[in-house]
Amino acid sequence: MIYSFSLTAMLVFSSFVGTVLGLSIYLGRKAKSSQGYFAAHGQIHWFVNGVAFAGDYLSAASFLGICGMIAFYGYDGFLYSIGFLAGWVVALFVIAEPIKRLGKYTFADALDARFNSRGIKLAAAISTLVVSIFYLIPQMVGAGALIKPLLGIPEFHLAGLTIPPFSSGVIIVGLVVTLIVVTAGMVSTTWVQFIKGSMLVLFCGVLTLMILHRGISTNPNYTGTFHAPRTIAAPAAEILENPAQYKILPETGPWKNKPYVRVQEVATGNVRVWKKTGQINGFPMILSNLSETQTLIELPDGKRLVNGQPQGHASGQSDFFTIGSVSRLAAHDNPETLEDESQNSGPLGPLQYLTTLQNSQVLLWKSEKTFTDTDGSKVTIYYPQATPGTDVMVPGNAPMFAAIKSERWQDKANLVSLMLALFCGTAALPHILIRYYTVKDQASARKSTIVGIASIGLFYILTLYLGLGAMTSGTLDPTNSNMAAPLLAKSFGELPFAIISAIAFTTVLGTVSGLILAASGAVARDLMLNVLRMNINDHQTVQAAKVTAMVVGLIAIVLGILFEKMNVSFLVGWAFNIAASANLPAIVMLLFWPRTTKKGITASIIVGMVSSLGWILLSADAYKDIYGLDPKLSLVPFNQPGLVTIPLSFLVLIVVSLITRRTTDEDRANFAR
Amino acid sequence: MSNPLHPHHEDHPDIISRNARQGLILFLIYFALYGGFIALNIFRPAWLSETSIPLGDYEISLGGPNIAIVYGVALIFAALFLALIYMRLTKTPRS
Repeated sequence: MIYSFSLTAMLVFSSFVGTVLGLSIYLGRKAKSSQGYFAAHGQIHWFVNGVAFAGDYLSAASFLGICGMIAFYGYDGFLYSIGFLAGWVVALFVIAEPIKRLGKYTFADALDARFNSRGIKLAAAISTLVVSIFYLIPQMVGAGALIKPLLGIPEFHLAGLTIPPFSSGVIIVGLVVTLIVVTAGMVSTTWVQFIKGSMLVLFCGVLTLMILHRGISTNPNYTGTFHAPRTIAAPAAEILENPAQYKILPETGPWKNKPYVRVQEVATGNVRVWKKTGQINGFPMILSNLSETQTLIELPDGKRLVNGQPQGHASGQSDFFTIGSVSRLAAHDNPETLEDESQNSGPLGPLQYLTTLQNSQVLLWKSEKTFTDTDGSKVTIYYPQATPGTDVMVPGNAPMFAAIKSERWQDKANLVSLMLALFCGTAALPHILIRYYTVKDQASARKSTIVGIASIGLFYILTLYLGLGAMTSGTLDPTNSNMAAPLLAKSFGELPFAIISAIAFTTVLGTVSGLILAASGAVARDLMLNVLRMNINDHQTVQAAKVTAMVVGLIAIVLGILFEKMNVSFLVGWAFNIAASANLPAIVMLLFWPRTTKKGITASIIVGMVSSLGWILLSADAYKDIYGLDPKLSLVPFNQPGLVTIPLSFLVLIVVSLITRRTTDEDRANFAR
Repeated sequence: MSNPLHPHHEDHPDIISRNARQGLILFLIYFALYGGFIALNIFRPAWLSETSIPLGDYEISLGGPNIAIVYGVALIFAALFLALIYMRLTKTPRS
């Protein structure tokens, strides 16, 4: 059984939440002023702030998404890591010091330091809200998706309402985080992120050591749920020679011209699907080799059949067997040749681990696009594909990065665009920027960024091992790549699983609290105090921020439940693109171009935000995933807007600044006359 | 002196522009390294699976892992290395 209720995981998670909430309430007494609530009095030590940067930044998408992507596709997940880390270079070398020097509580403060313009504050506050909310949605969706497999929480019945596990996950995270933020603002948020950041890096380090110590095996049946997919050599003698036992079903309806054979066990009536794999020089053989697949059939009445039987663990029921293994293992003392094979590598060094895998052959599981059978049931087939390690260790296997192997310019532009958005987006994320106000001076801002880079960089190197470890540890769920890291931990026992599950869940807490705080600052300080110029004192500003945090928390819960089916990495990409297009040009030009005007900044933020959002909504991905339309109808040539909208935002700033500057000079001349 | 700040104070315009200039140079170095990696992915993906770099008649072995892994990990270390250089360069002398 892949998932079940884990008391240990629940206890570890509850004790973490309990500690954090206790700490928040204790610290809450100290955070009554704006300075305390929004900036933790500017008294956080640079080292704590640096680790909190990691806790703030390493979201569920980083931890679970990247591990899963590496486990299912190899190197591609690491490509994300490289982009996510590179963004910190921009943060340190370009943004950190001026943001700290010019601002006080929010990103808008720094942007507006020279001008005192309501327009800039309004535009910056709106962009902070938009980016924060877009970034909140995937975090909440992640929380909902995690709760059942990680903590095994069943559905609740409350006053006649049935709350599915997904919704309870979203609600629990939403409530806990709102409570953390409301009690002590930046003070407690910082400590949540510090604890989460250190636990995450520490346990990933321990897990990596365990992976290296265990090495790689061709039969990684550590949990008793793995078996290597069986193959039947052509001609499939076992089937053909036992007509009383097996029957091959005719290839009718949607099964026609598909590379699958359906074999029915006569006695039970169970149908298993086998994939034809044998090829000679690229041509299919008349009687192919058959390789075992796994199938999920959702019947019209809602029942689910897994591998031909109802899903479950009683007799006559069946569940997915776990996957993830090498099919041929290179002996590591002679890694150049596959002929010198072994079954178990034994303990490996960090370099040896990568080389051994590179010279082995890995079974990567793919899935056939879900199709509808003649009886109306929906069929999804998961099948293994033997892949040389040399292909696993280079980018281009995941659909997201297929561009690397493509010759189309649009695909290549899309890849450059994504990598550019990751590079430019980090230093423009509002929840990251506000962390610069919690330290006392520019030197601390620099030092804490460097601690952040070190911990985040180390974490990303560790995720490479976690992902590759999950790929070969026989514990993957073929239907859910996001579970790779926790399931890898499960191969080492229940306690590691419980700890990693609890950490994965708290990962969501750390990032969400930062986002809610950024949004509440934008509303209370930028909009209410500075744009609307409401007459409220310091205490009332903090009260307003707390109310905003509650409202944003509620919005996050509702959106999280509404967006259940959306692809998480797709949404994270949105947030990075919008942040990079709306905020970065404004910050950079303000710092490096003396002729920048307030109208230029306002226009650049608005154009950057609207154009990137518009582009995303018109992209092929949006057509397919949001509107259910044919992606070919999309009006933009590639999905990721950054390559076009970031330069556009720069251009708008320059043009508008030049125009408005001239007007000002003329005005001044007229005035003198 | 028009500026009341001590010349070694980190808010002094000279220190601010010195730090910004040095930051920009280091940023450009990293941008070139990062850009090189993306360019390799776009224009020469086949090179990524090589485990050595040909150099005239010689080959520099990367010690096992391929260029994709070595370059990727190197980018992470380069970020940290440049960050430490920046910290060294921007160290404000005590006034």
